[in-house]
Amino acid sequence: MGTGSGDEAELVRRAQAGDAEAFRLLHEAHREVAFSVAWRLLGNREDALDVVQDAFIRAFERLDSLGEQASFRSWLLRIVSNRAIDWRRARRVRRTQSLQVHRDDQSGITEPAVADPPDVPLRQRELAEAIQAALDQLPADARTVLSMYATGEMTYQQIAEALGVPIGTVMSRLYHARRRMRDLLGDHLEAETARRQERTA
Amino acid sequence: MSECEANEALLAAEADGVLGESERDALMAHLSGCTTCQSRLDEQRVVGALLRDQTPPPVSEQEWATQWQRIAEAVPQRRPAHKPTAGIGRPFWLPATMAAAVGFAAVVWFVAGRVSESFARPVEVALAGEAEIEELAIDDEQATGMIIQTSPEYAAVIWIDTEPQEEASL
Repeated sequence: MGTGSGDEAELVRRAQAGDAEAFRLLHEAHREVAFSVAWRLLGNREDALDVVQDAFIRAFERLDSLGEQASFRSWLLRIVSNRAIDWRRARRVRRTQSLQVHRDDQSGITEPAVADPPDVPLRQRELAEAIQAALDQLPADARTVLSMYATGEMTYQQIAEALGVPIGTVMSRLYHARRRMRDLLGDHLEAETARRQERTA
Repeated sequence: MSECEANEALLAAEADGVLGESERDALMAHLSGCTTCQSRLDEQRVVGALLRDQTPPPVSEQEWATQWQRIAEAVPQRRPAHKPTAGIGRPFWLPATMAAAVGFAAVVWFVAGRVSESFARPVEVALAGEAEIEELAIDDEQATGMIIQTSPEYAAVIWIDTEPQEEASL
């Protein structure tokens, strides 16, 4: 469900008044982007789902503190990133070997993915693991700004609001974070650059 | 600061296609004579594209529905029933929390000794860090301070002397 700023403001007002359906619609509208940010921050599907759940509970607990002009999404993602940072500190998250998880819908039990899913080329899996390993080595500020921008759903302004910093700081953090990723990815980046150049030639 | 250093943030914005026209013209003029910055711009684009190409694993509708059910069960029990405030600020229950902290300190005063004079004016500390402070003890030579988070943005500091006084405290 897409919500324009006016629709979202109305949902927030209704939710603040205790409208459970408005709560649900806010969850439906923002759960995917929240999961996308949490997953990149934690590198683990189940931990990311737990952080998203916890973040929504906290957001709904404190919804009354959200000002009328503030963006619910930016505010929610600030909570998500803070909770992910706390999660990493508390749980000492271990990045799983595989970034994909298959769930048994009948049992509700999550099973780890097969180590080498046949439908995903080896190169892609190695690249995905290298990217997550590199993200894990970044400082929290750098990892957070990259995780938010990589969702493809947040503008610089929205990231700035979520992080509580000026847009210029977002730009600077993105630049330095990507430079650090370049250093950490090394050969993977060179191979990927060559592959993209061949594709566009 | 060199011109290249001054352009670093602009390279990120240009890589993401969000640079304004005037800034872009200035950056392009610099890039026409700087292969280092041109190379860094290419790096910004490739790394940015790599990160965006990594899509999160899928989450089924059933999983989302289960998550929503858990949230719905948790929220009515935990969401405070108080009036909406105009914006981000101190919640109305802050004075009650401070009063509770005062009461707690009064008990400690009676049991362990004299409470520091600073207790009379509990200091609110704006939280600067990203992590929430649940409870933190600060020790110095003369007093122990406890930081109790009273809202997402504020915490109260209660100072308690570590050495009980010889005379009666009451």
